[in-house]
Amino acid sequence: MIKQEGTDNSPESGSDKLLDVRNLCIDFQVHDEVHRAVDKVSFSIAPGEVLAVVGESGSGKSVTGLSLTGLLPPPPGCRVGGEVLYQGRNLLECSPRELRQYRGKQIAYIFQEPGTALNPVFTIGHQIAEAIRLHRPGVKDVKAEIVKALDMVKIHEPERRFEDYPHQLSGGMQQRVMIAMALACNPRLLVADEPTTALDVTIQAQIINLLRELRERLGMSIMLITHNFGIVSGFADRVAVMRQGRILEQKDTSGILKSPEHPYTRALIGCIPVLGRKLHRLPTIESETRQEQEHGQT
Amino acid sequence: MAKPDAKADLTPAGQAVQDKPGHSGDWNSAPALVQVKNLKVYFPVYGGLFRRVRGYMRAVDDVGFSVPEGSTVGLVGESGSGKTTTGRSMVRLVQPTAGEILYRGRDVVGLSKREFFPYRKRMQMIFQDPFNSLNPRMSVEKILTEPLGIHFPRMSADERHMRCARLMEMVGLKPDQLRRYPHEFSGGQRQRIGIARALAVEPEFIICDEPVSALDVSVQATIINLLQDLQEELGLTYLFIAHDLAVVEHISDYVLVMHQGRIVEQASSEVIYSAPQHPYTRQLLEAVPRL
Repeated sequence: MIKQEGTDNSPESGSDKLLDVRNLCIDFQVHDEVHRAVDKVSFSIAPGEVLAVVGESGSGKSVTGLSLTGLLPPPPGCRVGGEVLYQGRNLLECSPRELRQYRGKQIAYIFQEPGTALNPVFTIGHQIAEAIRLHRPGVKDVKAEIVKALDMVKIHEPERRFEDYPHQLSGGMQQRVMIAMALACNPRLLVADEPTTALDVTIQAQIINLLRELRERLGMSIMLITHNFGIVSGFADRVAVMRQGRILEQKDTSGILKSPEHPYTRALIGCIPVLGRKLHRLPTIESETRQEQEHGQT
Repeated sequence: MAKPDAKADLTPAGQAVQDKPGHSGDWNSAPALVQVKNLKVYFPVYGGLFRRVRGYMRAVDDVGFSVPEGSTVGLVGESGSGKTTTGRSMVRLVQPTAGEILYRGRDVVGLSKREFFPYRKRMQMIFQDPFNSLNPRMSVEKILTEPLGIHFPRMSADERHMRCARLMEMVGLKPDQLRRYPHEFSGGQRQRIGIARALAVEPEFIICDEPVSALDVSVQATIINLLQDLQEELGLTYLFIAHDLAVVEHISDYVLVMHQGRIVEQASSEVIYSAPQHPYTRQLLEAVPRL
């Protein structure tokens, strides 16, 4: 586990948690019905740690990530309960003004589809500059910072590239720009919401390697939200498996891959086709959950 | 061309469901349903003051392979490698620049639209993005009856409805969902509708263009299983296009690896995994995440 410079407490001790989420509940109101999207979810992330939140679509993993810095719609459409303690401060009680000090600066995001997350009418340099001007008003030479950020995510010729518009870049490059933008303000926590789902496997491997490298260099924590157990191994320190708004199990990565306790976790791991292990049929979640019901487990 | 078969029997007429050819058998000696020879698709690149043709983008450059009947041929490569263009040119969604596409021995490249029409019924396509490939203003029933109206014009409304209901059951959806609209379905269910639409006209050959790339891994598994079940049931032949080698290896009997418009390696799926020859294939294999 990589530790933040200057922090030598073990990540397990309570005071050392960078982010501590306790009993997070998220309710959406649709017409007159209230749907609970996230139900009493608790997890914590230590400095420098990578926590993967794995679940199928609809499991509530993305809204959990969004709720951290108040990115969900305001009440009455959506209500967030519980506590989100960031370095001891409850972000859910912050005013919008205070929240803006955290969002982007302390906690940054990378979203799933870089094509839609970037603004098509501004150059990528302009969009990165926006983040720097907002959160680091002391920076004089913004251009140098942009070039530095683009260089960090291994975009060649950043001096020329930063005048490009998003459509001039490929999907992998766009995702690099998103990462550059997120890292421009040196965040302590990066929430990566399905960062590679829209990308090819080769590009996916590159982006994951890049994230791994950056976290070692910068010592930041990452909350990786994904549906694919494949990218979790070799990258995340701990895994939380989410289903229907609840965390089913939470363990270190090797433990969960070797001996998943919950049948659902087993099913999620089992349904990924593995090279060289050719089965006649892929196991699916449905068949596993049926077994689960038969065994009377939940 | 066979007359429109009014009976809603979805097994291709006169074609016995045959066993899959053995994986180790010689690929090119197996009877081919579709053969592609020296296929080239070039796109003009415009430039200069008068937007003149400055050169050509060689999207597909001298590609040749054959698809044995009843088998699944996987086509892998990263984005921009020309795999989708290859698939689309086989159903003439893109006009090939040169080359031959032999369907049961007959070249379909030079055919006029009218002459090609009966082949459209035999070759269908499943698209990558289940969110953009279904018309949001059409109900599922309309989506499924549209191809029937084109290819089976003499079918009565009742028969069409029956066929739609049957198709829904085949892909694991409920017939009473026919009146719904695409936005009421999840991604996996929409992909099932896309599959039902392709099956509606009783094709023999289906080009699956990244059918599972946009889906969750868990849903991906159910769709792959469905495609395999349908293949067994209906004796279909697939060209399975994907960027994920693990998925392709799972479903395919043979694998083609495409890189920059050319096929750099072709072999049975076991061979390609155990003894990859081309460095690019090895690179692709390494990119697959391991558990």
